[in-house]
Amino acid sequence: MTTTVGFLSLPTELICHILILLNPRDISRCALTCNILWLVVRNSVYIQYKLEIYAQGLTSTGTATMNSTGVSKKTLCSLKKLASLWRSDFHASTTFETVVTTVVTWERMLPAIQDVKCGLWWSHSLDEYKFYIQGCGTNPTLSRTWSIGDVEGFFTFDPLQDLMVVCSEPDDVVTVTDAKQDYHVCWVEFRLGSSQCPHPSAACTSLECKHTFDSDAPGYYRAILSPPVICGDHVFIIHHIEDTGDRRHPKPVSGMFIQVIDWRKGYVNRHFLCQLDFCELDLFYPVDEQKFVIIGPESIYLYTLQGLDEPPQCRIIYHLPKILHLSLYDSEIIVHGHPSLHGKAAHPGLMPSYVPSLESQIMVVEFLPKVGKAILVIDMAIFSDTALRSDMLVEIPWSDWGPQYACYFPHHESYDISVFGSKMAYALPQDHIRDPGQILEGLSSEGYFYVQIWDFNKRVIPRSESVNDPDSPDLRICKPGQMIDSFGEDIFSNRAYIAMVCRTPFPTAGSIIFLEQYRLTVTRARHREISIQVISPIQTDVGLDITE
Amino acid sequence: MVHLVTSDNVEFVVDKEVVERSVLIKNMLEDVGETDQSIPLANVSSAVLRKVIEYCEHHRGEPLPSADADQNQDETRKRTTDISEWDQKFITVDQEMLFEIILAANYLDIKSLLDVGCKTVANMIKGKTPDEIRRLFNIVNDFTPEEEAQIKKENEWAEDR
Repeated sequence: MTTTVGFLSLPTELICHILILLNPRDISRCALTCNILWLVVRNSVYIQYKLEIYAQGLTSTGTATMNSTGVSKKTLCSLKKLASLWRSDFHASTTFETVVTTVVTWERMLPAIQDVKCGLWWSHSLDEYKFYIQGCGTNPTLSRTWSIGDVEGFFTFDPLQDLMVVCSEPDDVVTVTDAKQDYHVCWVEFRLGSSQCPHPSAACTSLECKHTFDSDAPGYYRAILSPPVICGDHVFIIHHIEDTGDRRHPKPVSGMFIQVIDWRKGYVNRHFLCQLDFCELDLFYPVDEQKFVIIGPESIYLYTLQGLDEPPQCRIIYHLPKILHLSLYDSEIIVHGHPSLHGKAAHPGLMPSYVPSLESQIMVVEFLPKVGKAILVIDMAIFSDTALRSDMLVEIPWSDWGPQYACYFPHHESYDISVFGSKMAYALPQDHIRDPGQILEGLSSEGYFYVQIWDFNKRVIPRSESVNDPDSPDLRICKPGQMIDSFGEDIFSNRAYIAMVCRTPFPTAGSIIFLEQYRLTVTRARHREISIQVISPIQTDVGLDITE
Repeated sequence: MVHLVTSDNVEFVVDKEVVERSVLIKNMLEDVGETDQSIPLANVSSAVLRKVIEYCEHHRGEPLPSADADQNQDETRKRTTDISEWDQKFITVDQEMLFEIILAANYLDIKSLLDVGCKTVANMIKGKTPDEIRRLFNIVNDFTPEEEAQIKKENEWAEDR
């Protein structure tokens, strides 16, 4: 042999074969060595897929190998399609429309709970004790509309597992005579959303949640529950206890508790959660089956669950900037996100085109004080496993995590928000990108709004700025910029995001938006009906063509 | 016995059972049937073929991975450091030979040998900086400074976890 054989003289498919064995960090380092390897990494769908699922936090270590045979062609196809879908400015094309007739007349208020996931819209109307599920896809097997009557309590539904959790309303008054004894809090049932039959994967039809009152004095108490939250195999219910001795002025006592339920194993245990006097129950947000966060006054608390019997442990406290401290006491806070659907629990058969890659990248926290309404977009990568290595409780000041992992935007409560993966759909009064820090007027209830899709994906952003990428000249990179609050503290964020605008206006009154991987659902409550409109962006010719 | 002729015109006479670890040759023999004619291997040198036959001799009689056994292969491929002791010793060769073996294994379609070779290269890369990887494989950095900065930025996410 006269020519020497080296690594780079191997055929591309063999270089891929080798690189796919490496973890994402080593792969990205190889990409940094020279043009050939950079192009190999860039152009291999399998490698890109591996990097993507790692970047999205779906593999924590990145060592799990995505073999070339391990990724289905279908998944890759969907990924390619997704990559080219939301691009720059687009027009809405309606792909599905339906109307659900309700008993209640919608004038000012809207159905309290609505969600869209996996192409199923569902709503739990507190005013009429009814539960609606409506298939919004072209797949007829998923389409169903029905309502159930006369069930009190809370409902929640996870379309991906076809799991409906029904949580009975707790008794008004619990008479406590013995502090060491267990007292009933509520019943939790696990049903199939599609039939209301007991869920076949659940170990039992229902479970009883209990609580031990450790207060010294016997008396009259009442449990206040949050709606259940489903995250894979786990269901979480947060509750606290009120002393109802004085009926007119019930007093909250002894902090917050969490019921941790493994519905597949039929197991429940309750734990003390925190001493803090949070009155808001919905500031709990699951990161995955083992981790959750609580938005507290001045800080975000990250907890881990070691096991069902171990009490949750607070591991990291992320401090919030001062301007957001004030608002916590006298204002509403809303958390938007899409609790992760991944894991063995997911039932992808229910959702033919579901691609488990674009989940749980950002969470958006809406702060709504009287003055200075704002949203904070937080990169969920900050809650990744590597951040949890330390056994000690770690406190991180805002300046150490905020600028890198969060974006701060002025906000108005009339702007609806929906989060999916790294993207956020934002209902704004204008169809152009606002200047950093610009404060906008609220949406008028008679007017129209435009949907903007903001993508915070850390991997897409630098790519679209790249001079080497002729595919994406049209993505608009924005930065939230710098703001000085009244405390003189910088709320600085240099983190870029991509803004895409839908040029089609929607009427404001009664509208709510829901973002999914490749579609946007707009519901509108009016008189005695809720109209549901599913739209897709009209695809542009410029597509990110990842060829093997 | 099967006759193989390498690119440098050396003839090897190998047991059918041994040589059939190569899916390429196995299919070829199935197609032509029993023959005394030698099979030319224009892409493989004698030095490399000697190594490949050594590998096949050692693994003689082991079940060949079937096409639908992808699931199990995934499992074993996951552990990249997982190379048996004998294979480890066998593959301790200079870089040129290593890549020649990989090419030959790919050409002859010997999946297990290809995996051993690829895992070995992957293990060499593991944990190294871009500079160290360049030195390892004699790679010339052909990025402009702007490009390099851009790509660094693009890959930041992988480093900060």
